[in-house]
Amino acid sequence: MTSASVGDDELLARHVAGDPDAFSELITRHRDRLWAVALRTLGHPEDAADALQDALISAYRGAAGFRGNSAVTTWLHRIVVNSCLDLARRHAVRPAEPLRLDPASEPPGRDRMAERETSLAVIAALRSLPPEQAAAVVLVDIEGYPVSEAAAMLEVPSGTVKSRCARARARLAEQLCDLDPHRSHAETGNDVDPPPVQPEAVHQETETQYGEERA
Amino acid sequence: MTDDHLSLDELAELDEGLLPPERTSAIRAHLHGCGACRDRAEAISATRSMLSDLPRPTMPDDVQARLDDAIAAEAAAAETATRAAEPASPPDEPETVLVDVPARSADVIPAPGRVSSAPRFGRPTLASSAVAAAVVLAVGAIVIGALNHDRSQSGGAPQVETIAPNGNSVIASTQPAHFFQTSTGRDYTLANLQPDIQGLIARSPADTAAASPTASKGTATLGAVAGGSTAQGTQGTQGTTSSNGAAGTPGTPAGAKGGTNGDQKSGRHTATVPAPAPTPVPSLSSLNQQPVPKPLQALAGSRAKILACAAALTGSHNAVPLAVDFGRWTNPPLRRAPSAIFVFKSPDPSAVSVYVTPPACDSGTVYTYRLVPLPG
Repeated sequence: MTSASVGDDELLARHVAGDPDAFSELITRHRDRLWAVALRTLGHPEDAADALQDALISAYRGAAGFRGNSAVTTWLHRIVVNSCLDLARRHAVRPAEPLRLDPASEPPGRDRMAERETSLAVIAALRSLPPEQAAAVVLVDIEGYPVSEAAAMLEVPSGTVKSRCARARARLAEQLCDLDPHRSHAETGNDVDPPPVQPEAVHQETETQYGEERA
Repeated sequence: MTDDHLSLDELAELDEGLLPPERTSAIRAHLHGCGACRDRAEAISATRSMLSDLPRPTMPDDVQARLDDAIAAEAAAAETATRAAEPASPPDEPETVLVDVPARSADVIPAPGRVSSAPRFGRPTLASSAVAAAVVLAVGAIVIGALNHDRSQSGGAPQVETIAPNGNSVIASTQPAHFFQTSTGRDYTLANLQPDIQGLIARSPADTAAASPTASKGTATLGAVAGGSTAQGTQGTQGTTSSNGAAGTPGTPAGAKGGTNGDQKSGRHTATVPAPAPTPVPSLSSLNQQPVPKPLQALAGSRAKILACAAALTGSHNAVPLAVDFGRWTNPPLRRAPSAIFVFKSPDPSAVSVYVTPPACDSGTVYTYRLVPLPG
């Protein structure tokens, strides 16, 4: 394998020059990140795999056109995001599919349950966003790219990225947070603590009780 | 409280620095005096945190293999093109590649242990083994269509969200589809799920454990659905189908097969159940109806949406819940998130299946899935 010290640009150049392994190595380097972007943007593993496959083929073919005006990762992300958005538009109406845990999920220890369910909640809410908004928050809030870089990936002005992110967060907040106007602070001032989710013992019992039947 | 609260949109724009200075000052002044809007502003930053805390998924092995295949096929195609003296232009055979690769990847995808955590729902699964392998046990009114996609793998895979805990998923339907709908606004949690669900069931008209109303007409069996055959064969019959995984492979007329096959044999599920109460919904004097939280109103207001949600959750077009409640789900750090609680009959008569779903139920997502034992 090529040494890790070789830069992305160099790998891409080798690919263009005909090195048969260079492209795969480049993708291997970034694959989890690209997968995350596709999966979070599209919300469906099947779709994410489809979009990613299309994107990688495009990148493979289009590598010679890479001019080095941006980082290779930016270029790759741009291709992947575009592919995702294309696919999302084509699949604007698609059958509902159940969501379950992500790959990468670790075995659900007690402490993991809440975490995982929060993740599910967030992922579920992400799916309700228009794809352009989803792509923006995925890049900026989930993947942590600076707005300027996300803008380069999305090929829109930074201001557009910001407003897409803002709208997306507003929509997500509505679904993820307790914002019921009927329950203002005045009325619920005394339940500052969450309702009685007891520590360990209860969790464990609950898990056994409800989790065992599938045996 | 003033009555012109700030919108989440505007608060999010403030947070992103998108508002002009005058408006920013005005909003800050308002926030100073308005706890409700401060809460909403905090919700925006909490949302950012939740997003950044999301664990990064690892690309599943099957996807990885598929992409490797695709790249290899592309490389081969490119080489062929080059040999054919078409220098460096995009190869001519993209179709070959794109058709070829998915076909191969289909062999790769069912990597157990992965599949269970990397959901592969959708086209192939839904159409073939998953649904087809389910066993139609009852022609009861209300039955769970279980998500049995990863049933076969569930043995080894630790899954919080395991659906269809045993192989005996049940799918059937009756019409009209009665279900009990309420809006308790209750704060559901894992800890109180069992008593709350039991309470909900106790108040619902159909006693789930005892009264599975016998369908008298229009019964569709799973086989009919899974095999894609028409349902006429079972229309008007009990249609109780007892099948196994072999029945209903894609294209197999499983409905007809199962319909004749299991008709009389599974008598335990057929004759004993009373007819459905026609006008069920009781008064909820002891169960306060609360306003449906705003994000849930679209769902709560539409019977079609509720049924679509039930179908998405269970994977069965015919799934009709026993009861639906609109409330909130707390499982820290998720706190009082507006949620719909769907209760389905489960294959186990002593328990019900409970799905807690976010408002955007069309996507078939769940916050949690539990089997909740019924009292006694």
